[in-house]
Parts: sequence; C-alpha cells; structure tokens
Amino acid sequence: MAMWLKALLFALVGIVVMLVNGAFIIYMLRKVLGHAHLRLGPTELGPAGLAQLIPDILKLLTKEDRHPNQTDKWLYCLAPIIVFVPSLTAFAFIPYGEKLVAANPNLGLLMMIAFLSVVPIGIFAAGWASRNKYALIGAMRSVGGAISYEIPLLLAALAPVMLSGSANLSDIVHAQAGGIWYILPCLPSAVIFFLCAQMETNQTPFDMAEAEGELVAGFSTEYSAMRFGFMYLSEFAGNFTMAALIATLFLGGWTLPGVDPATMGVFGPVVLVLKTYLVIFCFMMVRGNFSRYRVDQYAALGWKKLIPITLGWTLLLAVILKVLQMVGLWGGWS
Amino acid sequence: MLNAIAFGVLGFALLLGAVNAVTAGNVVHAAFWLLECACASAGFIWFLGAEYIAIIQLLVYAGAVGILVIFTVMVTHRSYEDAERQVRVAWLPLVFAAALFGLLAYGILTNQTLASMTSAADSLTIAEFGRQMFSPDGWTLAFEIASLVLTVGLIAAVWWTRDTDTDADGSTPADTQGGDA
Repeated sequence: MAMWLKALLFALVGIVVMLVNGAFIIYMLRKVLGHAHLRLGPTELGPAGLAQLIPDILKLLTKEDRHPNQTDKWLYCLAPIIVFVPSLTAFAFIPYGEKLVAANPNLGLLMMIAFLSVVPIGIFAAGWASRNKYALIGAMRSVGGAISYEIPLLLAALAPVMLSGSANLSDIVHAQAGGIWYILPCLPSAVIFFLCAQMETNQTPFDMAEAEGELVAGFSTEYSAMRFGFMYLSEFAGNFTMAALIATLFLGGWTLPGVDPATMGVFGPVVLVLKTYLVIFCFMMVRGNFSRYRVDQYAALGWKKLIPITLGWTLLLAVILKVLQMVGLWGGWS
Repeated sequence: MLNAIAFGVLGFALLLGAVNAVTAGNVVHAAFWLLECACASAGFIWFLGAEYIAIIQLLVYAGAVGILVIFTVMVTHRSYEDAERQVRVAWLPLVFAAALFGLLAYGILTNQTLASMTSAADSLTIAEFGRQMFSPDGWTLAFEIASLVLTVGLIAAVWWTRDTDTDADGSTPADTQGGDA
C-alpha cells in the first residue's frame, strides 16, 4: 500500500512541477526570445511583466472549447492525453538527489527514451483525427522526424553509458561526481544529443510538425482552448524532461564538482533545476538565432549527417576507451 | 489486492485492444488499437519483472512497428474514405488461432520448469545484459531472428491496407487479392 501511495504522491508532484514549469517557460519564451529579437517582452503587469502570466493562463482556461464536427471524435479527444502521459512518465526517471528519484531501474536511460518515443504517436493521432490537410502534413512530418532522430539520440546517449559502465541515471550522476562532467570527454555526443533533443521536442529551427509559416500550426491547428493548452503543456514538459536528461547525462546531474554528493542534501534538486533551465535557455537562444529548416534539409541532416557521424564517433570513442584501458590510463568499469 | 486490480485493468486493456484491432472498420483506428495492445502487454511484462523485455516491447512494438504500420497506412491511402475496410469473419484462421492458444496454454500450464521460473531482471545491469546478448551461447541468434519482426510488420501493413474494393477495370477483390499482397 505504501508503495502505491508513494507512486501517487510522485505523480502529483510531477503534475504540479509540470504546471509550474509550463508557466515558467511561457514567461521565459516571452522574455528570452524578446531580448534575442531586441524587444523587451511584457513589462506592464507586475514586476518585469511577471504577472502577464495570469491573463495568459486565464485566456487559455476560459476560451471556448471548439470541437470541429468533421473530426474523428474519439481520437481527437484522446490525442492530447496520448501526448501528455508519456512526457509526464519520462519525468519520473530523472534523479533529483541521492534518494529523490521516483523510479530508478537499472536500465533507466533506455526506459526513459522508450517512453519519449511514444509522444510522436500522440502527435500523429492529433493530426490525423483533425481531418485537416495542414494538420495531417504536420503529423506525417512528426512521424518521419521521429524515425530519423531517435537513432542518433540513442547513439549519442551511449557515450555516457560507455564511460560510466551503467545505464542507470543515478549511477551516471555518481560516476561524474567522482570524475569530470561527461560534456568534456564526449563533446560531440553532447552536441548531437542537444540537437536531437531539440528535434524530439519540436523546437523552432526543427519544428517541422508545426512550422507555422507553412502549416498554420501543424498538428495542433484544429485544437483550441485547454486542449491546445494541453498540447503545449506537454511540449514544455518534454522540453523540461529532455533538458534535465542532458543535465544528468553530460552536466553532472544534481551534483557539483568539488562537492561531496553526500553533503548536497536539499541543494541537489535546486542544482539540477538550475542546470535544466540553463539548457532550456540554450534551446531558446538557438530558437531565437536560427531560421527554420526546410523539410528536406531536416530529413537530410538526420539521415546523411547525424546518423553516420554518431555511428563513427561512438565507434571511435569505444576504441579510444579500450586502448586507454589497455595502456592503463583509464580504470574502466569494475 | 492492488496487484490484482492492476492485472485486471491491464488484461482488460489488452483484450479490448486485440478485439478492436481485428474488428475496427477503419484501418487507422485498428493501428491505434494495436498500439494500445502493445503498450498493455509491455505493462504486463513489466509487472512480471522482466523490465528489459518491457522496454523492448515499448521501443520495438509501440515505437517502431507502430510507426511503421501507421506510415504504411499513410502512404497507401489518398483520402480518409480509403481507410475504411469491410470486416469479414474468417473461420479457418479463427480455428487455427484457438488451436494455437490451446496448445500454448496447455504447454505453459503443464510445464513445471516454466511455472517455477523466476526473473533475474531486477539485477540485470547493462554489462551483464551485453554479455548475455553477444556471447556465442547467448541470445545473439534469437535476437537476430526477432529483428525480422520489422519486415513482418511492413508486409502485414501492406497486406492489411491493400485495395480490396472493386478496381477500375471491374475485377472483384478475389482477382486482385494475391497480386497486391
């Protein structure tokens, strides 16, 4: 019984964190993108325009829930849920501290990516059920993107696994606390993971599924009010989860260099959240500074560049590690 | 008690998905029901303690095969009406399926070694997994054979979405059945 209560508590905390994160990212989008475009963003309501969030959220909640009558009823209503649930579930695998982790299986990294791979199916369901050609094109692009970018994403995530000898996210954090952050020895993997994370979460230079210049709003064209809000909430949740995964794999997770992990205590989650928002800030800077890819460039980048590069680099890293181990410069795994 | 409830919910979801995947009139709906089925069986496997198999179930069946089936449906249908199909009851495959189920159920229920087996998945680390996967007496061959599932998925998707309506030249479904599949 206690186990179930704990699971319920974690789910509740997860939902609250996702809601707060959604509000925070809306504010960040307005401010960070604003300054990147030499605008100020909201300034009138509250200190530094912070209270602008309240009308933003009220607008989403009180808008009319329009339901186009040509849609595929069941799938149309189900799609925002299919998108939201895996984003929330993947969130459970991130370690926030020594004991602060909802689920800590040995193959946590793989499991988390398995859950995230379900998200494009929800996006596809939304686009198909909308009975709108723009939505359908967006949905197909999202599925095509999922096929091309999950391979380099997984391959890039292999580098920290090779260095730490474990696919358990807590072990990866501990291995980094004892040595160096993995962004240094495997920078190419970190860069590729960063790129694929942006593609996976539909961030602007790679947001083929919604490309508003071409497809109105892509898969979410026919959604309004809170259903639309849900789509966006899960996009922001995906942002947070991916950024937290990058922080965990390459930036030392909840630990700090030179600080004993045992003494981190309550600062663990604070450190991780700060690192996560730093990564999200980088996502937004990319978003503000690069123009959107064309759909053929997007596919070519995945298949012709990222997959061969990650394959080659992962092989090279494995050979280097083996040689270093044989020479005795690297301790390897126990 | 709660485990029993979870078992019941997952079992119901699995059966519901299976029945609907077969009987849905719309191929895209059928594909989604198949996905639901894959997720429910992943949940089942997870409950049995085989965490790695559950991940593979989710990644390969829900992720890869699901997307493959949906993709095939997408590229072979030009309009929404194309996705509608006629559902006919085929008795012979039903008998075969029932016989296979009976055989498997009998085999599993009467096999003492299977019944007393416990899962070692809880202690499975990535290094241990690699050793089991790639050692010559390990799972290499089985894994390679299992990877044919994508090809099977593709063939099934093409067969599933083939044009069974009367063609432009007036031929009946029976004429075109062999060629398209």
